[in-house]
Amino acid sequence: MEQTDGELVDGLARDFAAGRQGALAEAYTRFGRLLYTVARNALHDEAAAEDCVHDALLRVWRTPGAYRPERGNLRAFLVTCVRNEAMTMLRSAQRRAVREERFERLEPDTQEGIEVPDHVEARRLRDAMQRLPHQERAALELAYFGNRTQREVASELGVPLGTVKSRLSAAIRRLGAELRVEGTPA
Amino acid sequence: MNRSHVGDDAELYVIGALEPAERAEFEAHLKGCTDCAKRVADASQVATALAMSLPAYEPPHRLGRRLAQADGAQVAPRRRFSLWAVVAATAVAFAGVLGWQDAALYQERARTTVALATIVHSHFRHVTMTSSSVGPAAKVLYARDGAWVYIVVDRPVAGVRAVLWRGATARDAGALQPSGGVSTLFVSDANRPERIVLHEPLGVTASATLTY
Repeated sequence: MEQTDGELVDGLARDFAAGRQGALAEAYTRFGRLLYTVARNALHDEAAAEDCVHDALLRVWRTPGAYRPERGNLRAFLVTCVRNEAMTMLRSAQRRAVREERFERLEPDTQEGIEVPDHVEARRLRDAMQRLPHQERAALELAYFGNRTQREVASELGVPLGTVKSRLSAAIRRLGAELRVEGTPA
Repeated sequence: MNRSHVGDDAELYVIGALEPAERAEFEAHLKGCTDCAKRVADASQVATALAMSLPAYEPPHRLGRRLAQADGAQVAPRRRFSLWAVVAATAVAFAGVLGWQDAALYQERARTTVALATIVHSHFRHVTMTSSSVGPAAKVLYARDGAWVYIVVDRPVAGVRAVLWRGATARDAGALQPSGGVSTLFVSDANRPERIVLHEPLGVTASATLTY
């Protein structure tokens, strides 16, 4: 009569949505590594990534109604929250750097021992990205892996802002369809 | 502001590509729009796949401690584990040198010691169980985070088992152990049960609903 992992995650999602004690720590235990990975890859700084995950998780856990099941599963919701928090921090850091007249794009840090994923899901995503139209893939790579704003993407690709929005949106929808069609939920 | 719909913003939102003002506007819209919530839910699955393709980093231990503190989860699992390990190892050692009765008695005391030590280090609540007949009085002490429960019945009972419910799922946590004038059961990995039901061989004895 033990619960399945899926049932436990469903229970965790309900507890998290209600801001119940224990749910924050349990969510971090389950998803912390992925969330930290998202923040670290955007910010390239250990302390900033730690603060990013901490602040993002705490904010949504303490805000009634911030997470609702119709927003998707809890892991995906938290990934989105941390990504947005990281991009806010990154923009803020870049603005500070501009003010101090020493702007340079943050380069990847060089911590040793990082693990470059080569699991099935990562390979499926890479394959699906290769099948994207070139223009959509270029926009997505700049926006997600290059952490560029829409305006920066537009400038680098030499296209209007609206075109960037359309390409990014189409790329995400196309990837979602590809990953679902292959049989495993994305 | 609540625009009728948001164009491509759902997909841009999940990858963090909206400008801060656009994001605030979109999040406000999202609260009242189930269509966009569904679109975000779909797109966020792709965002998760993108995240899983990134070079992985191990978070610092300090981050987990900070969040556990914020959560109010005060009981350190490692400490509880070591307490269990010490008590269990000692009980086994005693069982080797004492007769069976003495060893059983020691193990019973060890169980009680573990339960009490865990309770001392926890924030907990209690609830009186509702009896389905004129049965013995019973009470449940439980951690505020649902990590453990301690069931106490005010007389020795035989063959009474505790079933822990969470949602529609039940888990048999084992039989209460008579000891002295009471019977007890300590469940160290209770996993936040919502309801506890005591079953004797002929039916339900008592139940309690746990709130967190």
